[in-house]
Amino acid sequence: MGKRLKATESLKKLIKNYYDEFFEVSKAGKPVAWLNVGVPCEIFYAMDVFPFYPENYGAMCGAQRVTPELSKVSEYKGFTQDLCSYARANIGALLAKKGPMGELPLPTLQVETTNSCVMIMTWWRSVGRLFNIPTYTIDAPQVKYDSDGFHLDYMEEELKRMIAFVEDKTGNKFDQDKFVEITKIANQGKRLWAEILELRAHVPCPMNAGDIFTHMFPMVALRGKEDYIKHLEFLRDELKERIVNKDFPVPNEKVRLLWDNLPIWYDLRLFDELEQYGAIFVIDTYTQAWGPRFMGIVDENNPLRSYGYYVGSGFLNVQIERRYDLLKELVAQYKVDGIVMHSDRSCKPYSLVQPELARRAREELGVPSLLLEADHNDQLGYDREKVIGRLKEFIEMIETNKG
Amino acid sequence: MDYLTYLQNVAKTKNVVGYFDTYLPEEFLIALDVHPVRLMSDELEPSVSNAYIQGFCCPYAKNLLEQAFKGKLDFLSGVIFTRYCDSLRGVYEVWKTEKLSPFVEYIRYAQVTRPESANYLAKEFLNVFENIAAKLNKTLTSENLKQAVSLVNEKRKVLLNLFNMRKKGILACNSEDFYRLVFSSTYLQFSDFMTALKEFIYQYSDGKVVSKVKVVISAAEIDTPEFFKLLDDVGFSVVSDDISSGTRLYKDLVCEGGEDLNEIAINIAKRYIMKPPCSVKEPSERRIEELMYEVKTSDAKGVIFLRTHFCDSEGVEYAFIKERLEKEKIPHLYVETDHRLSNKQQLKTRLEAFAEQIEGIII
Repeated sequence: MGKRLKATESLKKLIKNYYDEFFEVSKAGKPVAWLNVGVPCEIFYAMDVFPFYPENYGAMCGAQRVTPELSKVSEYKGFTQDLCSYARANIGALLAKKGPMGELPLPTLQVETTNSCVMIMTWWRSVGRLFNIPTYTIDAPQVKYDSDGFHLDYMEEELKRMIAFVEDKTGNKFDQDKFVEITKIANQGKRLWAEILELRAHVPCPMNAGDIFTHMFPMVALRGKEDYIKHLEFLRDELKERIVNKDFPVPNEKVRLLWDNLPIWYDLRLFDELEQYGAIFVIDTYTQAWGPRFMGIVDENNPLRSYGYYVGSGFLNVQIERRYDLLKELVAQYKVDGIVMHSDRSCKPYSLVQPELARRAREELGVPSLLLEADHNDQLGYDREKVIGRLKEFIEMIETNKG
Repeated sequence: MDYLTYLQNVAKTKNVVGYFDTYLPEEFLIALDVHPVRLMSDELEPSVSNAYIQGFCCPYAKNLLEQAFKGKLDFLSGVIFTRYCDSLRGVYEVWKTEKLSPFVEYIRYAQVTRPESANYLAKEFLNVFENIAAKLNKTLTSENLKQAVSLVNEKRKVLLNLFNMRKKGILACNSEDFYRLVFSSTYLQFSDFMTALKEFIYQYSDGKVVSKVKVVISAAEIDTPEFFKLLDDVGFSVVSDDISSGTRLYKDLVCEGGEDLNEIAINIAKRYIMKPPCSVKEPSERRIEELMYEVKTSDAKGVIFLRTHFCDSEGVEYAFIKERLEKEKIPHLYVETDHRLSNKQQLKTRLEAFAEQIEGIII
């Protein structure tokens, strides 16, 4: 149970190097930008501004189970206890000057985009106000299916305004040639990520969900860096090797599952736990946000507009029609028997459409769903035994139906 | 006549279209000879809606969905959602998927309200309202839109005048009646509203102002007159507010100019993006400044911050409002409830304690 990938070691090094660099550049007084995951890091690498992602740090707080402790600090300040647990943990860590990596050095500036949720906007607003950090919000009005026409023009203008803001606050100039070079590397990595996601469609599946969630990190923070390519190649090759050697996490797969929503960061072992029942999460919707459908290949001849398109058409910036189409495609491509929807109290835009999606999946695709209420980052109130019990019942039900 | 009966009657002779937040530019609907109505919550407990949306959705938004499922809003020709909060976004998806109204439109609204957003938003307004015009066999003309702008401005002006009279203590009405009138401005037709307004002024202009503990209410959304009745009963007078269904409705006007549809649409867009902001919009600093201004100019003795359960942006904003009020040494109370005031007894006890606290300060 819980067969780990060799690439996990390579990933640990990447993460360590990234955080080392973050602390070094901060200490040296070089420009650092805190970004939310919808903001393309490629633009910042092209401007020699180090991109740091507090949501990634939030996940680290979750994995290390320190969110409740940090939340108390933000709640004492007046933030209510039912807010997104990423935000509570992050703001708490900054106020308390402690956390999984110790005290975080504050950034030169912040940039976020409205393409996911109201919480992100108010979280960045809070950090900006509390610590007097210049903050830019890229406006991304929600679209039905994707960004086009004057909406796309607006997205491109927003990115231009954001670049002018970063230039103004850092003194670093935007270099178009460097931007195109970085975009080319990022594109190369995106192709590899697409291959990795596709390899999971193999029966049996070569990679469980816990691993893919962990391996998202380079796709979020390192796009455009050379070592990100090497790591993704390593990961892809290892998956291919597993397929050739028939070395699978669950060799006798009985039930293939799809996970919808963020993972439960403090219980990634949950995915391993189900292997004993012959079940494996072969695909998820969350890592698709960095996949070809939602953060695809950027047009190297017109990169800014292309990034504008992907920011405007981000995974949580589209409506139920596209979310359903994604489920439908994934169910077919990955031969999914059942969908587990993590109804995440900390993520309303992801979660509040799930009952409708579940109904449509059942009625139109004939695929059952289980709605599992939890929180992606705060373990208070999480009843692991109960969760496993419900998952086990769901798996048994699918097996019975399959005959 | 109650709110729903009134609207059902209106719907017999003209299209009635519902909306959900004060960022919807009702001018466009009036220009199309459509009656805009900001949908109001009621006493229904969630039952049918529980199968469609989770319990951590805003109870106010969920209640509107419940009303639609139970057929109480069947008189509507359609509804329009804007990009407001994440709960209403979820409700929109269900409303649309379940086809709860003949049409369900969505405005890809700017969440960031900076001047540069106005041109984009104006195009989006024209895009959406021309679609609606086509659906209802209407035509959007610059002349009609100009007239609608004047009409809605007129409504805002009279509300602002009335508000100022009350704030100065020369209008002897209680909080409940005043807010009933303000809320009625979002569902009555203009002529009916003006009639209601005349009656209101006639009723209250000669009365005697009763001395009560003056407070300002800060909230995202409250459309429940019973909350104001509770405040009256406890001994408060709400002399001003910072609420989307209160002063944020009528504080700013649309610039009355523009030759063609595009120019008028830009003027309208400017008003909606520059009006006193809700916490779901960025930037929102003006909100705190407006609140402080209202406290200082109304002789209020304290602030009551009301948060609807699960409202994310207010859960964040409170931290900053609290900090500012503490810095300025203004007494304040944080309370949480839902549109049905389901914790009314607890609220009453806390409000009474707050009244005593403030009175203690006065002494």
